[in-house]
Amino acid sequence: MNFVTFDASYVSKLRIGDAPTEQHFIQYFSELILLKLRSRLHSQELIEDLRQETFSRTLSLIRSEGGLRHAERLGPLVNSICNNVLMEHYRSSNRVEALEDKTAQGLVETRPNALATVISDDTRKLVRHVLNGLNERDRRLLQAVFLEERDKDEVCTELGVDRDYLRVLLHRAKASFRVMYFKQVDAKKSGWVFG
Amino acid sequence: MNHQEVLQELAVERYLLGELSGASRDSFEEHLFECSECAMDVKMGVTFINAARTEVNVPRRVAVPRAERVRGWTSWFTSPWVLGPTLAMCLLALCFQIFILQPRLRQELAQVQTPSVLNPLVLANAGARGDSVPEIVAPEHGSFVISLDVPATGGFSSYLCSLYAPGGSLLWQITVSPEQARDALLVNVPTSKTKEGLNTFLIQGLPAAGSANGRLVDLARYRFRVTIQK
Repeated sequence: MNFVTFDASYVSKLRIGDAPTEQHFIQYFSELILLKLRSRLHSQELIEDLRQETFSRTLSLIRSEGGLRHAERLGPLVNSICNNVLMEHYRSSNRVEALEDKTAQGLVETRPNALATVISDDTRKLVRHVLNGLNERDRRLLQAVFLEERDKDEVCTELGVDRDYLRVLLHRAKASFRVMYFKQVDAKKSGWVFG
Repeated sequence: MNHQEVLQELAVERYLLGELSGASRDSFEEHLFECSECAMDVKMGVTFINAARTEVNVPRRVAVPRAERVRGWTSWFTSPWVLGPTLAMCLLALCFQIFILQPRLRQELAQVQTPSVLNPLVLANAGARGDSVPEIVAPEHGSFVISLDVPATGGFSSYLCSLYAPGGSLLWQITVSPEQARDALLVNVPTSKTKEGLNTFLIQGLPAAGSANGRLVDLARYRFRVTIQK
């Protein structure tokens, strides 16, 4: 995971079909598109279809006459195309209400999938380290919310915390994980083996 | 939604927790697709949550801290600074017993167990003038016998025999009944209980109960010279 800057050079490479750039582009936006689609759709196959459709249209547009004039707008373009694809799907399936009013319970995929399987042992170790640093209540809170997928309000009431506490807990855990993750990356770059 | 608003509202966490919906979710996603920092933050969150799903269910592996041993007041005894010298002293004492004390005791025991003729030092005729001072050569780690004549005059309930060192200090005392005093007393004196030189044996009589004067009465004073054989 690295910070990415989408500039004219990047878009130009996409336009000419540079394989590494295209691979990076698909990998980078796949995760975001999957998150977006999972919060609105249940069918894994449909999500995959719409993801591919989004990429197909985006790359077609970039490679078309005129293409993308402002490279920095690449991200919003992908999002916009994904929204259009979604809308078309809703129209075609007559599901006007879609899942818009539902909360994104399925944002993070629980079933085995490509994203889940790339989690390395090193990453698991880091997460384990972060979790071991939590007290029993916080661990229980994360377990109830993410593993047991229980109602968040119910869990918070049960453990005597509010929703803000849950957000902050996740924020801190994520921040700790992020710090350790980048330390690990730096260590590997300099020849160290972390953990 | 701009980046500052995302940070202030913990929008990434809300998104990951599925708390955003409708316009707020659309607004966040618009920002998410154009902000690589937020995109990375969300991806980090997803990775964390996915991994946490399995890891949070694993029992926490915490090393049990080794219980700090409470050091009692006797702990100083086991300190190497004390234990070392103590053991050395014990070893020294053991060697002294084995190589010096025990041979000496064996020798003394052998002397005691060996039959021998006793030549007691006779202390008699108290008050006789011109008597020479008797002398005895006593073994250093043994004893010698004194044949003591107690002037058994009547009216005493018992007799007190006291031995004084050449310097005049009392070495020991023994009480003798009138019955014992009828004949010459044989007193076994350990050499260690005497001093080399001119010793004095004082015999005093303790008046019977009911007498007017209850004070001890000097009856005899014997002087003898002790030479210790080393």
